[in-house]
Amino acid sequence: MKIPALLIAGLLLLGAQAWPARAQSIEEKQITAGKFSVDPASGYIFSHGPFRQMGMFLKVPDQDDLDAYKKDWDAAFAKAKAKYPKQLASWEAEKKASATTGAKIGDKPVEPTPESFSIGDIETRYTISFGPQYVFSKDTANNYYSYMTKVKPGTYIYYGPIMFDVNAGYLGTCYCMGTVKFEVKPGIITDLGNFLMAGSFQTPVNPPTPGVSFTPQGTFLTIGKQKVEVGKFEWGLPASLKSFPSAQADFHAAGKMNNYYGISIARMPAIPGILGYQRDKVIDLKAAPATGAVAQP
Amino acid sequence: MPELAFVEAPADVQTYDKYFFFHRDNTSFDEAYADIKECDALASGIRYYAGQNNYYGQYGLGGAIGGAIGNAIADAIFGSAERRKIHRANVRNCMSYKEYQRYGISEQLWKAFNFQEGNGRKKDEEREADLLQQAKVAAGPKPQYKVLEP
Repeated sequence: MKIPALLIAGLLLLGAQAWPARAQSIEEKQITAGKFSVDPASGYIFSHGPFRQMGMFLKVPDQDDLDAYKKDWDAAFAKAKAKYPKQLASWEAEKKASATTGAKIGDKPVEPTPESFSIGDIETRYTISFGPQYVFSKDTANNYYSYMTKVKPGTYIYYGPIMFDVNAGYLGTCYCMGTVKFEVKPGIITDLGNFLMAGSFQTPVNPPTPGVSFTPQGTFLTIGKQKVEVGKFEWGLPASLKSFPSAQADFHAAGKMNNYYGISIARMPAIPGILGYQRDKVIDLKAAPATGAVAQP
Repeated sequence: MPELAFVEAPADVQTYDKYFFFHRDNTSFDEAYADIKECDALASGIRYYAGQNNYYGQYGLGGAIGGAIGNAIADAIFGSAERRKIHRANVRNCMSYKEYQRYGISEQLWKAFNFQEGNGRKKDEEREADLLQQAKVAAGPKPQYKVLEP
C-alpha cells in the first residue's frame, strides 16, 4: 500500500509532539571563540567514538515532568470531552441522512474516558538525540568524533543508536531489552567517554549483530567499506573542556522498555560490573551484584 | 497443536529466514505464551511494559497511537515487506534472548499458526489465536529438526 505524500505530511503534523526535542548541540568552535559558558540550570552530555555516531536518550520523568504531563493531559481531556457531544450530533445527522442517500458514514465517535484517552507516551516527551551531524569536534585522521549536548538535568536512559530523519522517520535500533542510565547534574558536563560504543562492545553480542566482529585483537565495526576498531573504554574530555566542571557518568543498568517507534530491537551487550542478563532479565550488577536485582527503566 | 511434520524440500531451506517456529525445553505453556506475547509486542511497537511508575494507569493507553503513526510513515517509505522483515528480525532477537531455539518449517504449515503484518494490523482475535498456537508449539514436544541460528 502506498500512502500519498499529503497524508504523510499530515501524519508528520499529527505526530509532531512525539518527535525528539531539538537538543542543543555545542561545538568546540563556540568554546574557542569564548561564546560558551556553563548554564547552571542545565546539564551537558559529552561522548566520543571512533566514527560519527547517533543516539537517543530518554529522560526518566521527574515530578516536574509528571506535573506538566498531567496538566497537558487534563487540558486535552477536557477539550476532547467538550467536543464529543458535537461529534456525536454530527455523526447522528450523517446517519439520518445516509438512510435516504445510502452514503457511507464513518465510525460512531467514542466518548473519551480517562481509561481510553491519552496524549501519548510520557517517556517519549523528553527525548534527546545527538549525531551524526553537529559534532563537537572531529579528528578524522585519528578516527575521533565527539558530541556535546545541552540537556535538562535528570536521569537519562540510553535508548540506543537511533535518529530521526524527516524523510524516513525513525531509524536505528532501540535497546529496548536492556541498556544503561546515568544522571546528568546541573551546571556540569557529564562525561560518557566512548562508553556508548566501546563500553558496550567488549563482550560478544548474542545473537551476532551484522557488521560487528569480535576478535582477539579487539571489536571491529564495519561501516560501508570501512572497518573501524571500537577500541577500549576510556573517559576523557578534550583540552578545550578541561576548565569546565565535569563528572564521569555513573552508569547503571536500565530495564526493558517499549519499542516506542516500532523500529529494530536489541539490547546493549552485557557490561561487567554494570549490566548483566539472566536470559532476558536485565540485572543491575552495580546495585546488587550478590542478589542480581532485576533492573527497572 | 499445529501440524509440524513435513518433508523438507531444498526450497524450504531457502525460506527458513521467513518461516520458522520456536521451542524451549522445560518451558510451560504459560511461560511460553507470556514470552511470545512480549516479543510480539516489542517487535510490533505495541506498548507492553506499564512502566515503573505506572504512567499508563494514570493516563490511559492511547500512547499506542503514537506508534501507529510512526509505523504508517515507515510503511509509506520502506514498504510493507521491509516492515515484515524488521518484525521477523525483532522476534528472533527477542526470543533468542529468552533462549528459545529456532526451527525451520514449510511455508504452508507456517501459515496455519502465524501471521504477517506489514501495513496495518491483523484483527486482535486472529493475532491472539495464532500466538496461542505458537505458545503450544514452543512449550510442546522437542522438535526433531536441526536448530537454526538464532
